[in-house]
Amino acid sequence: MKDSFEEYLDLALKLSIAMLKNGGETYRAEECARSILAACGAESIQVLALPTAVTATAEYQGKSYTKVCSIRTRSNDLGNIDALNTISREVSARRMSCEDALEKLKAIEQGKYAFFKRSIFSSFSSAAFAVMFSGGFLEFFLAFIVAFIAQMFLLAFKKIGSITFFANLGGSMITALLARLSAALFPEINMSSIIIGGIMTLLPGLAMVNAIRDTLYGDIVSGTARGVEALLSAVSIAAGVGLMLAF
Amino acid sequence: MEKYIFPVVATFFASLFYGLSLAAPKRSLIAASFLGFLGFFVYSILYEYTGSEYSAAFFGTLAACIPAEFLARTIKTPATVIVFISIIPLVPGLMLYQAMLFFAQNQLLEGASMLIRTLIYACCMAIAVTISTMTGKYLFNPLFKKLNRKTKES
Repeated sequence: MKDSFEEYLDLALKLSIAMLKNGGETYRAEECARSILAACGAESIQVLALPTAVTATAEYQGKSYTKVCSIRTRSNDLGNIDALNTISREVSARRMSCEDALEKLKAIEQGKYAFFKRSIFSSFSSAAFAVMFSGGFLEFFLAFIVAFIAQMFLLAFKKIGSITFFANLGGSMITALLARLSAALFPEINMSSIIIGGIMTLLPGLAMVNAIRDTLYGDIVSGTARGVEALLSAVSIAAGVGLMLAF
Repeated sequence: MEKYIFPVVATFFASLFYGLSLAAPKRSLIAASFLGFLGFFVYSILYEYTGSEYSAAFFGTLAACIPAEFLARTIKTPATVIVFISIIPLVPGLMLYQAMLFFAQNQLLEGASMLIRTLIYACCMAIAVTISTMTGKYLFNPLFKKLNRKTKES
């Protein structure tokens, strides 16, 4: 074998960490590491993935190796999940060497988080949701601006605390506040469609789906943790909107 | 019927841009947005004819998720990537907002009942996601394994 076993262990752990960081399922993160370790001939492989840490242990040529890595930040990036899944497939099928995979992984991790572009797409999505909930052309335009400003605030709020509670609370508060302001400026518009459009993109859909899937695949601990996370962000969004509508 | 065409078309673009904002892989975008459109379409039709938002949410989510599971295995990408984009139009943002509006106007009873409706709606969606995940695991997984073996043999 060209690459040493430690490199493979490193790769397996890094892949599964990156999978969890980008919002993949727990079972997939475990499967990633397990299939890579199995592909390089390790025995008695045990991988434990939790939303906050991954542990991998395996025996190779009579020696036992263990590695642990913790996760601090989590985000949603569907493109990265797909790319990581492809890397893990290729390595386990022995079509890609360990070095290449590590390089690709590095490229993904250092990949530019095109914040501006994403904010614009997210704002367009909010605007389309505003139209979906009985908005017109003016609502489309206003919802776009409101959502864009809310995204800017979200970036600032994300630095407070390691969970998304404050970001969601602040984002939904800003959305509701700006929607009320625009309703004061243009009395004829439908304010609720702007607010709904703004909060639709914040609501924890991915967290809920992941919680269900994790629980079904037997990762009860991760499922519960993600369920609580989803509930918490839904509560924070509701509270933010409620606070701003109240006065 | 006319008042439904515009929102349902907007659904497609909402899903599309939502997928773009999460940097979804390009080969899954159009199909996933179409599934989002399909789910909301089924939801609107069922809601119109049965008047029950719960069954509409259930079948709407089912209509979006089961093809999503199938598609994910065809283009070899994790199922969450597609499921997430396709169910986003059905997420109960409207009901959550209305509940909060009632609370803000001090109509506590209406607010509480709306909140409970939101919860039941979310549970209906959860059950549908559960069923589609199980369909993927126990029906599509063996099916695609068989298909892959056949293509390798031939």
